[in-house]
Amino acid sequence: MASWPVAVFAMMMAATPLQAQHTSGHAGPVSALAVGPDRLVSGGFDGRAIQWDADGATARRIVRFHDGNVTAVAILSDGFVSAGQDGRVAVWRDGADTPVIQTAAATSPVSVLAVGEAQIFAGFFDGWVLRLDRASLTHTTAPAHTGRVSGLSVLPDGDLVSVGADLRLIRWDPKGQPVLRADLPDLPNAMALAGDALAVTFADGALRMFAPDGTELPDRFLSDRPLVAVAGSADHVAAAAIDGTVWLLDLPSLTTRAQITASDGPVWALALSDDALFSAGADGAIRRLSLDDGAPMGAPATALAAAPDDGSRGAEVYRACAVCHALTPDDHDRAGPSLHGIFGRPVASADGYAYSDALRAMEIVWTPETVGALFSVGPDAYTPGSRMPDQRVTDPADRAALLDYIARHGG
Amino acid sequence: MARMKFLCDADRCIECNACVTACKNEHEVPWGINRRRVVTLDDGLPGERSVSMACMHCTDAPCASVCPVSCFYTTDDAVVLHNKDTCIGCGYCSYACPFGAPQYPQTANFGTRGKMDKCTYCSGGPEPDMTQAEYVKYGSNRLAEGKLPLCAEMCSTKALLAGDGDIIAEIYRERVVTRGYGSGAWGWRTAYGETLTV
Repeated sequence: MASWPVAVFAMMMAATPLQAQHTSGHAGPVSALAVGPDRLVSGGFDGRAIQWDADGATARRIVRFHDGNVTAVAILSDGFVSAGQDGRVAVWRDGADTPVIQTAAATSPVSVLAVGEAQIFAGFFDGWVLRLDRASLTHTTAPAHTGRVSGLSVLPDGDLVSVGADLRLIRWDPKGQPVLRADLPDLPNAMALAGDALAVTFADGALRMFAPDGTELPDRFLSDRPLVAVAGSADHVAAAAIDGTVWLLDLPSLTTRAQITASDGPVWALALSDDALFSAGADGAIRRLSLDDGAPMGAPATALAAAPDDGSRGAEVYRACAVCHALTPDDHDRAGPSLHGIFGRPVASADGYAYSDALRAMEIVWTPETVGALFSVGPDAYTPGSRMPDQRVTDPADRAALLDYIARHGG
Repeated sequence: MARMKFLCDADRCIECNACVTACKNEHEVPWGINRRRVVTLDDGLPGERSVSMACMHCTDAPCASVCPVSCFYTTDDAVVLHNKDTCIGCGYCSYACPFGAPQYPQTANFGTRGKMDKCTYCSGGPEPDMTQAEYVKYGSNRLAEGKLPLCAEMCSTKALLAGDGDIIAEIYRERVVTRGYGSGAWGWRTAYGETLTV
């Protein structure tokens, strides 16, 4: 672990923030980041895609379009692309309130996006790849892998490279024909262009580099925990693990410039600009880190407020609710509305949350009995058509503890 | 209490897929989901190797550390299970798992992903043992019946071993001693150099 001293040095440097750049805009885990010359775009579990200034200091646009997690984002010169758990891909242009094109919902979520000169590409969890022509806005889909498409990168010559859970790297010509296949040594989780090579992070903790012809280049085993995110630029490559560690490496040597403990939980997304590394993940904060030493550029990011833990069984059961619901008044930015004051409230009546049509058409008043019934049979049966994932609390004692907890902490 | 483990002896696996079929049948695993699969490396080339893969029931399971709703738990037998009543199908665990174990239904309500499914080590879920409710969600609970996972029971070459980690480690040790140096694990040369004589 020769890089530890660098990390320690990086933490010491954090005492002198270069610029206040705290950007905690998502009310839930952040799943995707992309940065361009004039903008940063993030996608989150709260169902929102946020366009920021390039330094991530100011949110310029927030769109809540996808049903569920926004799993991938990509930069356009005049907008951005978002894609989500609902399988939809949406292209947003500056100044337009609605997407210039949106694809239909699919049963498989989008896992990754890539943008080329002529086409936008989306990879899906079921192994298919969508190609969207940027001029005609028409699209086609075709199978590419027999498992999750983990990474897509567009090479300078316009060819697309994909890696998938079938442990294959495939290079495709602009017409969508495979021109090269290579076996991968482990399960890939993400891919980015880094210098002249393709950087791929793997579940075995390795960052492996590949030439555009599929030849394996020198690698670095960074961790014994799975690596889940990667970002690349001409001079650097960054990788992140599920324990919140981020590595910033120099190219082409892959020497460690900084090893950063970015957060306690997983870092799901990284992005590299000319002057900063952005990282984001389970705690909902977007961190801006120096390319010199990995030091945070700005005040420590504020993570999502945790639900109060009073040591009760109800607090334990509520943990499964907290990722989508706040208990504080008017905090409707998470994937679901705040549960503050829920008892006695008609269904779909909290101001500031965009409920589904299905829920708004129902006539339920939330009481301990109706909320109990919701968790007894599950939302699929009790509130069919709503966005809430089908969760049940089958143990009556646990349901009672949950209701008691919500009543005590939800006002 | 025993710590239950899987071990696949790549020197013995013949890619018959009996383990995959046994699992599908025993648990009535839905179409599109394979809790267990056989991965073949260098398929068709001299030296090809096959390994039967499923959830390996990690001691420090990465899936559990990334789950936003804390649906994973470890049993007294060291089996990693999950509660489908809590799972929201977010897919984060599929990134964390080094073995590709988490599986998702191809069709689900409202465009969402549905519940994650994975190998249960033939030990059901949080529902009461050997109940219909447990079977519908997780499949059969052979451990509660005093039996080992069917995939390993069906393995004709005994490549796939399941049971108390100490016992299967001893069985494997005997095999390695009999075969000689270098047969301990596939990938010996990958780890210690292509020029190594084994």
